[in-house]
Amino acid sequence: MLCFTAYDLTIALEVRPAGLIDEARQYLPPGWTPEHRRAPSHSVLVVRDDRATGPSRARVTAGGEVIVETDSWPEALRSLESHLQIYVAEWGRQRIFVHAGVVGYRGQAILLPGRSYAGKSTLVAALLKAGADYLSDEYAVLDPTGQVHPYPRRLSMRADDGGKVLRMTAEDFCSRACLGPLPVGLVAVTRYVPGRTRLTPTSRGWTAMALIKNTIPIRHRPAASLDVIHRALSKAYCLRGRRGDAAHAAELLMSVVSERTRQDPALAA
Amino acid sequence: MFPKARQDDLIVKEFADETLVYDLRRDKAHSLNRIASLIWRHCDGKTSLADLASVAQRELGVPVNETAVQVALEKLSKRRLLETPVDGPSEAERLTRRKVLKALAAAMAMPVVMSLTAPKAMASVSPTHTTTTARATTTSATTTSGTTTSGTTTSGTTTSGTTTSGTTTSGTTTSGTTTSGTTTSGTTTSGTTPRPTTTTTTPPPS
Repeated sequence: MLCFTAYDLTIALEVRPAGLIDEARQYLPPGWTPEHRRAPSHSVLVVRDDRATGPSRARVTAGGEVIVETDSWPEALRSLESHLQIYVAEWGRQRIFVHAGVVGYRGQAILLPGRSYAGKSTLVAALLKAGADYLSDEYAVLDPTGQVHPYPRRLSMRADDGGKVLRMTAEDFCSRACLGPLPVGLVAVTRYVPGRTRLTPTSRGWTAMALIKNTIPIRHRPAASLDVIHRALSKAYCLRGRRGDAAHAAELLMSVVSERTRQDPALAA
Repeated sequence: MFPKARQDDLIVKEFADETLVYDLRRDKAHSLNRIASLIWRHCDGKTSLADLASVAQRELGVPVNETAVQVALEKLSKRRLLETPVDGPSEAERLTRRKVLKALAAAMAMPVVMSLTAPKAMASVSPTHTTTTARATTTSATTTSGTTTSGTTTSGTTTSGTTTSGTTTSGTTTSGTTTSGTTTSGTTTSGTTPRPTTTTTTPPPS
């Protein structure tokens, strides 16, 4: 049994057979630390049943509910990771989690809100290649002042055939992880459309709606979520539109940040 | 008519030219543009439509007539942001209004209210994230060829999460209870993210 804390939540993880715990550790939320004092508020059980004949069966149970039952051990581990991620994102008390890719550039965070398959990781990767620092390809983790903290899990890049998910580090893109936190300098709400990137400035009110749409704890912590979104956007420049080639879009976003910083050096905190 | 803005169970945030209103009763967010926001804020139950038009015209610096105010009130009423509902236009009004609405749009004085339903946690996560919200309780799921998904993932694409008027329409969540699941190949998924317990006991040293 491993008891750990992540984002102020204490979780107990049991893996059977116990020898698989080291493998399961790699799927815990970023920044987790072992916990020896606090009682867990949540428990997760991962069981792999290696049968004498036929494929092994794996099951992930959380709080008594079956999360996944599968023939695929890697899939069970991914489900464990997903479950823990969403659990801390929804119930973590001191941060507001917004589904977004985030990079750091010139002392500011560039936020790319959006759901999966919106091309966030691709754009994050392009920004890293172009010289930005890595904060997250999954969540913008906002503190009560509206600053963004890293959520340093490895980037999930889908292989060209769209099937296998590759896990990459910032270093794989000749970049580095940002230790943050950073103020939000730019929010770009984009959707992938093949062709030319076309972005236009948009209002903070419109952008706030786009962030709400991707805010995990909005329903059970609406006041805190809205406060944080309001603060996060207080000095942010906001863009919306379609993006084509990721490298071109990355270049454009970074040039916008550079130009704003040139006009107002105080933005680079 | 002396419309009055609803005040209970709302969280209001002001941005430069817009007002963001979150309805705690319905878990809906509304963004009011400048004119809609101005009119809504002056709906105190004592100000007439004509006076609302005058106030808006003075503050915006563009011509605002009673039709613009009426349109704004209808939009606000439809979103339940007024204490007393306002009826929509009759067919005749709708037809005669077009010219006025075109003029309003040209003068950038068209009231706009943009709305969305706040996502449940599951709606905002990756397709592999098949976890429902803490309040949800899975009560049954059908299984075929070894794999069940309650939360509904099909060929790697999440199809659930579309919420209409508080009800998730695929994946079938009503009043927080998942009542059925859908089947894909290989994996049974039916998750909940339970609310953290508040126990204060300390575990024995491991």
